[in-house]
Amino acid sequence: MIDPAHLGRSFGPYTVTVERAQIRRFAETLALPERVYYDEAAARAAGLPDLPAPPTLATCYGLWANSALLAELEALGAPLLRLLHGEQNYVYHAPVIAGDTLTGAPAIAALVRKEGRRGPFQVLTLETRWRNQRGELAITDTLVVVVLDT
Amino acid sequence: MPTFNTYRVGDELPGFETEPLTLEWFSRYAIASGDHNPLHTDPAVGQAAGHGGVIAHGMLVMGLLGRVAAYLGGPGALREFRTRFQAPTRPGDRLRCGGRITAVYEREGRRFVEAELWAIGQDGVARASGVVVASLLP
Repeated sequence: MIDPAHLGRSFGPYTVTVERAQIRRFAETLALPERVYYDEAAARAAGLPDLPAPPTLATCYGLWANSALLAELEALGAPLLRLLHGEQNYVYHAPVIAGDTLTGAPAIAALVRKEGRRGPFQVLTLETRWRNQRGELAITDTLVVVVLDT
Repeated sequence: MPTFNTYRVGDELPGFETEPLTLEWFSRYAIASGDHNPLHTDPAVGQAAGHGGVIAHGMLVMGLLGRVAAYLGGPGALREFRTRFQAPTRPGDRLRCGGRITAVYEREGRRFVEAELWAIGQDGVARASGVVVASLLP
C-alpha cells in the first residue's frame, strides 16, 4: 500500500513520440478496420496530416508500459504484481497524430482505502495530462488501479 | 455511417463477437502495447497470483470496445472514452461487444452523442462496461 502522504505527488515528466509503426502495430493487434490507421494516403484523404492515434493508443505511454513509473510505484509499496486495472478514462482535447511528441507527468490524484471480501485494498488514481509539442492539452488519461495488500 | 441527425436514444450500435481469446493474442497485445506484465502472458505467474492462469490485459478489452465506439465517428470525433473492468477475461473466453446510444444533445453549437458499451463473456458475465462521448469537430 502507498502512504497517503504521497497524495498529489507527480512523476516524470515523461516525453514520448507517437510513431507510425506503433500505430499500425497497435491497430493491427486490435483488428481495427479503419484504413486511416495503416495507410498515410487514406489518412490524408480523411483530412488528417498523418496516421491518427487509435482511441486507446495512449496506453502505450501509460503506467503499464512505463518501467520507470512502475519502479517508482514499487518503491512506494505498490509492486506490479499487486496491481489490477480497475478503470481507464480518456478525455480527448486535441487530435494526436503520428509525429507528435507528448509530455506528461502522471500524478497521484486519489488514494482510497477500501475493505473487500478478501481483505483491505487501496484504490490508486493516476492522472496524466498529456500535452503535445505545441503545448496544447491533447489527452487527459485517468487510470484507476487496485493495489492489493498481499 | 449515420450522421448526428440520425442517432436516436436507444439505438444499438453494431457489435461483434470475438473468436475465443488466446494466450497468443495476449502476447501480441503485450508487444504492441508495451505492457509486459507476466500476469497476462505467463500461466505460472497468473496461477501464483490466484487467477488460475493468465488474464487478459484490461486494455485489450477496452481496445475491442473501441471498435464499437468507432461507429460514432472516426478519429477526432471521440471526446471521452471511459471503461470499468468488471471481471477477468481468460483464454477461451468469447466476448460479445456492443453498445447503445444513451443521449443525443447540443451544447454550444455542437452536437454530442453518448453511448454505453459492454463486453460480455459467453457465460453471460460482464467483463467490462464503458461510456463513449463523440462530437463532430465544429
